[in-house]
Amino acid sequence: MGTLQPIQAANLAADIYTAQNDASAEQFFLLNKKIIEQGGLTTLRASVGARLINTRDIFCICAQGKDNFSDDIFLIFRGSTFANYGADWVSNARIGLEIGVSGRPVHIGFNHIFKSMIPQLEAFFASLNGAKPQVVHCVGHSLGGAVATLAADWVNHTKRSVATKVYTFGAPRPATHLFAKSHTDKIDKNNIFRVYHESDPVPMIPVFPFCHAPFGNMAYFIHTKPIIWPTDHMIGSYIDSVNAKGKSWGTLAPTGIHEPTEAQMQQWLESNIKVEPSATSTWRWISSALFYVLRKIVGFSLSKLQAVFIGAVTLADNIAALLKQGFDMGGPNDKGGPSGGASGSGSRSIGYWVERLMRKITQILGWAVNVTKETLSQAFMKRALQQLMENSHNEATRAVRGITA
Amino acid sequence: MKTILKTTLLTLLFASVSGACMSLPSLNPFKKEVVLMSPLNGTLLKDGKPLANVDIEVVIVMPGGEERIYKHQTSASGEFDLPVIKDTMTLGPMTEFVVSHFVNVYDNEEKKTIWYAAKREPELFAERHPPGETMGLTCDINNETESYRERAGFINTKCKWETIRRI
Repeated sequence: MGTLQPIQAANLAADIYTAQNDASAEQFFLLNKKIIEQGGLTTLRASVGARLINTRDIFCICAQGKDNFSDDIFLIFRGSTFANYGADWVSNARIGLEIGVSGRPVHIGFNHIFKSMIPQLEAFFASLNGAKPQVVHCVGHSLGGAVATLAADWVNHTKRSVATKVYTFGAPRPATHLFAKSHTDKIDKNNIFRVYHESDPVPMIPVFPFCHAPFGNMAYFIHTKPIIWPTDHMIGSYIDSVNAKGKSWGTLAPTGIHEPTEAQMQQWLESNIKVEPSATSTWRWISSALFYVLRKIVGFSLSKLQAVFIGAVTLADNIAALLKQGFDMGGPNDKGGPSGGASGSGSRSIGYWVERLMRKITQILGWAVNVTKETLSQAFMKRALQQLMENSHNEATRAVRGITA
Repeated sequence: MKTILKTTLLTLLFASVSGACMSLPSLNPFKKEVVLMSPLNGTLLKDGKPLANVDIEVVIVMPGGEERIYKHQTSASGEFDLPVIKDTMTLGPMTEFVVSHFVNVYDNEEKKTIWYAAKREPELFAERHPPGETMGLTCDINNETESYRERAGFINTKCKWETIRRI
């Protein structure tokens, strides 16, 4: 069962950008003739509103493999295009969840883009005349990476192949923890090759409850800079990194960052060290902290937590309501409000952790506000969460708007 | 690249002096002259013999798929000289763009692509390495098409030159 090497996957993710019309797509096939069968040119266009992506461009190339990949199919997705300079897919307008093809909550915007291609994908697989591929390789950079993950989920769910492999570079978070866990179980973590630069802002968004697959934050992490650096999102930058560090997946080595332990999380929440918005670690910690505190509130049930986020009101509304519920819970040592109570971290009330979380969030936002029991209303939490989401997206939007490939 | 470094250093310097939070350099869009196609010259052949006074068509494929077409002709000795094509685009300081171009020739009304290049950076010769060494091409329309990949683009061509490094 063939696996694309890191540079092969990165080149495919870059080459798809050059397929701007059918004539240039043919050149894409010619360039990749060592792994792609010539002649069966199939290109897909996503037909979601122009505010999300440009509908004139080719968004996906479907190709049959050859030699080591002779029984395989490639689905290669592109990221943002010149014509959608605004990169609206990354804006707050479409942030929300809906149930994806396999029944798990996924990002509405990415899912709409993917769903618009399903009829074309079905036609492509039907054209294979019943031959079931051994492996479907889903490849993409940036937005293309998020859509490639949803495509792999569809391929697996509809049993289009024996196995599915996913290769993404600098992709945003496509779905929720529940999706990531199920996706990882079904596709196998060894078949998910998520590559990202530490300094690339796009993989950091959207913030919680969105997350990456494979579950547990495992990834092919490439250390670059400890601060957010938009040029590190560009596919050329990923090609450079892969050429320098990853001749094979073994040499690139999955050095992903694991979720902090409960003790580490509590230590971070209780620390008074100033948080730095431009540090990449800040966004990782705040996302993990939100996950940690919310899970505490719902008794560590993933499915119960996911259920909270599906609904008509906004994510910020839902999360704020849950945090307020947690803040009001009190706890075994909750004397005189959440700030009071026992001195040991292990016996702190849930409300105490909500308060510490809100302090960190207001620090990141640079709000000069004294977080107390009185200030922590649901409306205040909602405003802070909305601003937090907006700030994280601003960092990523600035990077993505720089990509006009 | 120099502009990015300069902006970044100035921003970091200001941040350290003022005690302000470290922030990203400005990413405001700006207008920039970009090279859509680097110049190309050489001799057009068919089975080793020069093709005189043959129509050459350059097709630039702009981002989004729009095509721009330029007409040329080979000389009496089969030579061609295609000038650089530039434009002005609005880019971000960290913009990666993709523009591709075809060089098609017409032999007895049959179209043959002798050169296709896609460039992912706007600088002159970004898709070729070393720059300029792909000048003085020998392009036989009956050659097989070969591919050459560079960091900032790739070429599929029937042309040959001194320092060929095929992929």
